[in-house]
Amino acid sequence: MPTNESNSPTRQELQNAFQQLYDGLTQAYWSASTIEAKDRIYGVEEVVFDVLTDLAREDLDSRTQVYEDVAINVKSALTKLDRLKEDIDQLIHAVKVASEVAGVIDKAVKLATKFFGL
Amino acid sequence: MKPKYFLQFILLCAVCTAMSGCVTTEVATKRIQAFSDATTLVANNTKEAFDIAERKYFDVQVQRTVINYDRDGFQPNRFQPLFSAHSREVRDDVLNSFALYSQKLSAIMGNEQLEEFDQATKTFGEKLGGLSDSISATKTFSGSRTLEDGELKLVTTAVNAFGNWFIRVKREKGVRQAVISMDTNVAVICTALTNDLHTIRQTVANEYNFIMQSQDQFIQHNKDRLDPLVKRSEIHDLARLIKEARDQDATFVAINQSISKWRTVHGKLLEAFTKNTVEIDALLKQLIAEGQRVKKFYDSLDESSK
Repeated sequence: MPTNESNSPTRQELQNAFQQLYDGLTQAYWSASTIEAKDRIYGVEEVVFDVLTDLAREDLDSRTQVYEDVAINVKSALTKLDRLKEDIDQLIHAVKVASEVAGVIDKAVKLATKFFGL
Repeated sequence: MKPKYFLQFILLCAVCTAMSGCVTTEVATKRIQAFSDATTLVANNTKEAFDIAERKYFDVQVQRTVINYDRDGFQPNRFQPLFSAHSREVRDDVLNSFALYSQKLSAIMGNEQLEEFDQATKTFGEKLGGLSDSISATKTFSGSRTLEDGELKLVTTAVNAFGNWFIRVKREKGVRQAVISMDTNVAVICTALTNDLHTIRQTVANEYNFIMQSQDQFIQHNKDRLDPLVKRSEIHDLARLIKEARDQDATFVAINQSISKWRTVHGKLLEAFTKNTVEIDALLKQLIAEGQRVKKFYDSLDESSK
């Protein structure tokens, strides 16, 4: 569970970051021109969608098992996000979109790592 | 004028002056009844919004199962509800308490013999008292925010107050007293509900985005195998989802506004007993019109899914 240390993000901050990430990936999906690129982005969005939905559950903190599941989902998302970020320029040719997505990936990864102590 | 008639004239003037600011009980009763109807609409529409969030969550799981079927097969454990049964029940009970409260206000106005509420109402009041503990435990209405202890206490106190009102209300205290004593609690619960709906609105928007991309994935992967007419129909479905998502989002905004407006009307309910009712009458009209528009939208969705 997240501690109350001042440098640990709040759940709201983490959710905002994942929402931005989800919105960025949605934009990237529709910008991608090949089916392979769309498949890659869709695969990451599946995990991000699950994380977002779990973060919006009000009783997340009180259900240890759910919390553990979210942490596992986040870990899986972070691995996929790292790989996606490496290839983002090849997947999305719209430079502005690619750069925005890379930015929101960085932010979400950073906050999630701190929040879940990964 | 003789002194006797002069006195009668003065008395008549005093009575007229006293009555000029009030309306008959019949008119006030009609207004309270309109408030009760509007409350039932707002409560039902809000429940419908929760249902939509749940149904679209199910659609998400169906779509991703279709897309991933060749790789993952069918995974029954994927089909989990969005709301736990408990957290949904808490939401429904809170909305039911609003509807019942307004119905009881109307009943008090219309039935001078009513001394106390029936047993079913009292039992519901007792249930609401028990909800406070559940809300504390599940933090219902907090969405992604972690509610501060003070905020959480305000919500549970307000829900408790409704429960107590159903159990202990006495008719002699009347509608005026009820409205005054419950107004702060109404405000607290309305704020909790609008915060909750804000989070759920975002969840539903995410669900639609995911469903649209899943639908696109299906088309992309099968475009060379689809019959032209089927292909056209699938693309049409994708386009229809865009419109549905927009309408749905606008409906969430409308429901949120309805709750805020409902809270305003409650605050002005004392005006139902005066002649100064231009504002409350207008607000009630808007509230009912908006509520009916939202209901019509949900009915149309039900029709299209049949």
